[in-house]
Amino acid sequence: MRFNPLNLRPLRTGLLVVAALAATGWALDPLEQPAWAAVRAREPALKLGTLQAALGQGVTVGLLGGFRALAADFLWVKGEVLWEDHDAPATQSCLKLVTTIDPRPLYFWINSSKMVAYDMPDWRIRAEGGYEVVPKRRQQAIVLEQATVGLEILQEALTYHPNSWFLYETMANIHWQQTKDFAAAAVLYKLAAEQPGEGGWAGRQHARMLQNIGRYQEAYDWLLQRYAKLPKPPGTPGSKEPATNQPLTVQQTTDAGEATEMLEWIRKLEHTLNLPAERAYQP
Amino acid sequence: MSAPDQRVPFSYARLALIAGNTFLEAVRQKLFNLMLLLAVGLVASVQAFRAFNFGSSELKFIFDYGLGALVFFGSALTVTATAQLFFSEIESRTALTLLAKPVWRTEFIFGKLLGVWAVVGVFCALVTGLLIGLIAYREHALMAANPEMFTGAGRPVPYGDIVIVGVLQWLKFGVLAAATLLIASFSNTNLYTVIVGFFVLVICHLQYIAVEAYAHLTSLPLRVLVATLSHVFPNFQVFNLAEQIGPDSGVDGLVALRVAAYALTYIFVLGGLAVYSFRQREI
Repeated sequence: MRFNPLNLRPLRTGLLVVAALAATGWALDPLEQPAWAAVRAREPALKLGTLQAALGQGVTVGLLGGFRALAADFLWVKGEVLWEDHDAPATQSCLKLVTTIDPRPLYFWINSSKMVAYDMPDWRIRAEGGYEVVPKRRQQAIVLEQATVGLEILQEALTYHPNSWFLYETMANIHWQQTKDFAAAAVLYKLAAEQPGEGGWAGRQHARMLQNIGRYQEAYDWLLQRYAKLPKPPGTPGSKEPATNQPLTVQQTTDAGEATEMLEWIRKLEHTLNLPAERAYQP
Repeated sequence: MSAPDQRVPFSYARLALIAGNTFLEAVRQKLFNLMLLLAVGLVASVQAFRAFNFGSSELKFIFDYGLGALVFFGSALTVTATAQLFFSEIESRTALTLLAKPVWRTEFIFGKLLGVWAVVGVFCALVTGLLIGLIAYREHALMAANPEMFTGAGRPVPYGDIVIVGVLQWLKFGVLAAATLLIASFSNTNLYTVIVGFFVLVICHLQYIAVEAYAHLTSLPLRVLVATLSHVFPNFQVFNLAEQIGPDSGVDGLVALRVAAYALTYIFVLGGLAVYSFRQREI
């Protein structure tokens, strides 16, 4: 066979096209990179730390686009159906898929972790014969296993919602109610209280957990700090305005109740700590 | 076939004529009407899917859902219409007749590209318009039902940003149409062009995963190869500025301009390469 240079023409054309596209891509980097950084900053699912994350988050986010919200919603319904059947492995897989497809809503993360940490231990204990039959030690082991999985879900959620008080509070609740690790719960309630938007409950829970583990002085100091920041409507201790004949608004009534309740708590702690009257807090 | 190029100067009027004919041919096709009907039907049906929305706010859900329909059907329309309109000229031999006259191949290719892009533009305008209408309708209803939740001044939905997102999707479809034309310029069949066109669409949406996953390679030649290949394909994720729209943020105008410049450059380069490749082709 004789060599015909014309046969190489498609190859030459192809190579030239690829080279031109690569050169264009490089030349457009100054336009692409800032835009890509802006897109990624608002879309946590596009920040891929591992290949596993890339294959999970990346592919679904990249391909489903706007439909991922709907796909996740439908899968959530399926997860609820599986939950009603008490099918723990299938429910857990389905919930994982939901948060993989759409990691944006907190609803999915919070409720997934609650199902895993609170409901599944009950299913497993019943499946093994019930609370009367299964030894306490085994029951505790099951609760601890499920709580750990629930906490892992919330830990992953924090990578997408790093400032969510709700996530920290749910983690703390699991430690408080399921693993009975009050020290861990105290740390997490404090973290929740420090996030923007938290209503105050997590702060009070932090003090409660400290009390539970006998750290009364820390609980007392924390409550003093919180009390100082509470709004104090006219007439309540610590308020700069005296009581008037004007009726309080609904919000002011709530604030007054909260302040009074916290002051009573402070007094109780002073009693527990045996603080002399001259060292008692003066609002 | 290159003789006319040398005899007559490049004509924008001829280009516009080819683009106009392509546009008319495309809107008469069942494909366009079908895609438009499906997309409009899907967006309009969002009301029926509201009950399945768990994760995000209702307006966000409608927006995500509508954008999903726009991206999905817009991509399908772009790839199939471009391939079909190009090969209808080749298979019916009208391209042969046309190019025997003093018509540049550049005019032919860019005429086709502009015609398809205009059709996709009509599609994007209709779907985005419908989406805006639906969001405005629901926003009005929600504001009337829960006035206490909309305490800020003005309407909460940034309609201008939705228009920008729609325009950016249209620009992305322009890049996709140009890429499909490049494939069509050397391909022998419509089917091959459509399949490869869809592969390109997927690659362009997912190329960032390869870049992220292989960013830490130790082998230099492999790193250069991956970097080169990642620059051959445009990054379609940069067009996804929808996540920028939120209660406390909007689309950054500078980022949108950068993305627009990125798209226009790619359209021009891919169109030019399609012309180059088409010139090598025997019709």
